[in-house]
Amino acid sequence: MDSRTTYSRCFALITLILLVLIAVLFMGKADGEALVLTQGQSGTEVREVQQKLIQWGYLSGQADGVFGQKTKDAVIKFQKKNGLTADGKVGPATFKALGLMKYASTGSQSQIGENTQVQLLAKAIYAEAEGEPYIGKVAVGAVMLNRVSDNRFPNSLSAVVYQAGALESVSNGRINTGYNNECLRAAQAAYDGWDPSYGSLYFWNPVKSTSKWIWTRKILVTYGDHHFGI
Amino acid sequence: MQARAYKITLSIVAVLLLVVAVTSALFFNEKEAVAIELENQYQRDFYALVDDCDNINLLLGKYRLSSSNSRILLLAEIAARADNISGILSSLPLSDISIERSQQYFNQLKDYSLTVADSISRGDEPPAEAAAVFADFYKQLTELQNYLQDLVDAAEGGHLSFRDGGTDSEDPLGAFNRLETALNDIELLSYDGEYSAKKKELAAALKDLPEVSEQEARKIAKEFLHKLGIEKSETGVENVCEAGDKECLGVYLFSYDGDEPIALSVSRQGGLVVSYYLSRTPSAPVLSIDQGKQRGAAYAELLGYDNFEIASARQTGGELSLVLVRTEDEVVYYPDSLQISVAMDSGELMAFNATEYLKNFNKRDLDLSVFEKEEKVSFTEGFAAGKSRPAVICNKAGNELLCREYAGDLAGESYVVYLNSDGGDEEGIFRRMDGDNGFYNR
Repeated sequence: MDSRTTYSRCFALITLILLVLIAVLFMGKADGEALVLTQGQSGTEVREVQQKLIQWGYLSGQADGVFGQKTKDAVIKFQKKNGLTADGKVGPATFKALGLMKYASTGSQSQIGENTQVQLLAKAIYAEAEGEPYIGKVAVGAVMLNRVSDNRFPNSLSAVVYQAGALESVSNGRINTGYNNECLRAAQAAYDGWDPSYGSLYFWNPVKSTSKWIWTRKILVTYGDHHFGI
Repeated sequence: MQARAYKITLSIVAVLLLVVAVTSALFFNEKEAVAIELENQYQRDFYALVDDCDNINLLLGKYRLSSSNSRILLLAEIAARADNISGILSSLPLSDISIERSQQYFNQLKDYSLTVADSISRGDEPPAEAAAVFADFYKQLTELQNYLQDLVDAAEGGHLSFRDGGTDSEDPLGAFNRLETALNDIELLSYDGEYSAKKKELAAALKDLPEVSEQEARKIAKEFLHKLGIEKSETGVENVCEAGDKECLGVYLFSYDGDEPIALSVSRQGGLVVSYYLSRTPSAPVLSIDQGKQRGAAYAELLGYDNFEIASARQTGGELSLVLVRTEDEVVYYPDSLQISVAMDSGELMAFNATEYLKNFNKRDLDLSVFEKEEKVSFTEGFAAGKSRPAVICNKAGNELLCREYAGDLAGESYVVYLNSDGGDEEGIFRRMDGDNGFYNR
């Protein structure tokens, strides 16, 4: 190996490390900012974007909720047609142009006539139970509302949701990333009185939970990955 | 040539290093500023908590002396300050310890104060035990302040830090933990209020009904689905609590998995369907709100719940969520409510929930003779109310009240007013919120 090759490799390695460092620093700053969908992601939001693209003829086939190459191409086509930066990523401007206003900001945008308490509950459900079945989402919302009614917890929904250390999504900032349609429906259902948690005050994921105390609670029911108990 | 390339590389690396250094400095500065701001907020909250505790004691002292209606103001201020403390406790970084008893204590102080204020505002004397209860609160708060005093001293000496978990002088978690332990020795208050230790019966409608077996419940679930035109095979059953459980309504919870999973629960006592949920994301709405309401009312009848009227309707995400309340002999029973949810794309039943109905329904012995003639009521000028109708509502303590319900308009806004049928006390005012997505009272 000659000195030139060694030098080139060292140069490439140093540059790479520095670029990674810069990227990490900027990624750290981006935490908690607006929702941006990119290739490789999946979920309800992706499905809703695909449904809009299909509806308007930019994408063909079924909305599968997976952001693949076909979806990226359709997004680029849509962005070009609407005078947006054609980067294939769905950020606030693209969400807005697609008519998905609820994702166009960090979730704080108010909808006329919407009950703000339901919106807050939807945010908490989205952050805590996005991948859970619908009934599990309603149950998470019901737990929040059961706490409001219980004298051992703060007596407003905002104080319950943002109680220090109570929800992991509050500690890591995920709570402020918005909500989707399904979580809004689940929140409304819980707000109207559905309580599939049967009066539970706690919910936890047995795989992730590190608290010994939580296992002293009586489990009432389980939905998806969450136990619900009192 | 090689020397030139080497110099260029060195320059690039130097620039990149500079960028990293500057960005890191800015980032860590910002992080530190946020941390300082957070600590400031904790300190501000802590001082507000100490101040509120101190003021509550002062107000309790004044309350003991006062015999006029100004007691209402004193109690309202005590309640507001106790409420503030409850909020502060939830925002301080105390998650490593339990503060549930502390929350409970201040929630009860707030609620009890409001309960007594309500009684005085109606022209009644405070409950007989009130003087003793407030004297206890006064004494307990004086003692509790001692637990906070160490923290106050530490803060004044610059040795209190929530962010670093305390310094050499005092640990905030330790002090709040001692406060919690001290409160655990104080008995919970039982009174007629929202946060009382007294629990309401879980299911009045079920208490005298026989217990059903899992097999019988399965048959009931199948019949319910059949009524809806659904023929699915059950994929699981879970027993949620026992029949007659005081903490939780005992049900058999049946699951029907598939593309559109269903969860259906049947009460262990009486074998009544408590809830039904269909997991499906509705497409764009096709039905109008009125059509959705008609579908919802029809589902209530189909499921055997006749004589229910719609009390609220809210369309959210392609689903119309309805609350229906029971009516009988022109009396509307708000506690006996059902929730029904209709898909606005297909009109199918998305959800049914009879929990509130099963909790509250019972044979009531109401004296409706007072409604034989219309009471003359003088409302605020400008409030144009129609004819009243009898209505049973629940107050915050969970007690049922027979009221006259008046609906009317004030300055272009719609309101519903409830006056107690016995004496005419105002028991509640609700504003009707109307919009394109439906209506509800708040």
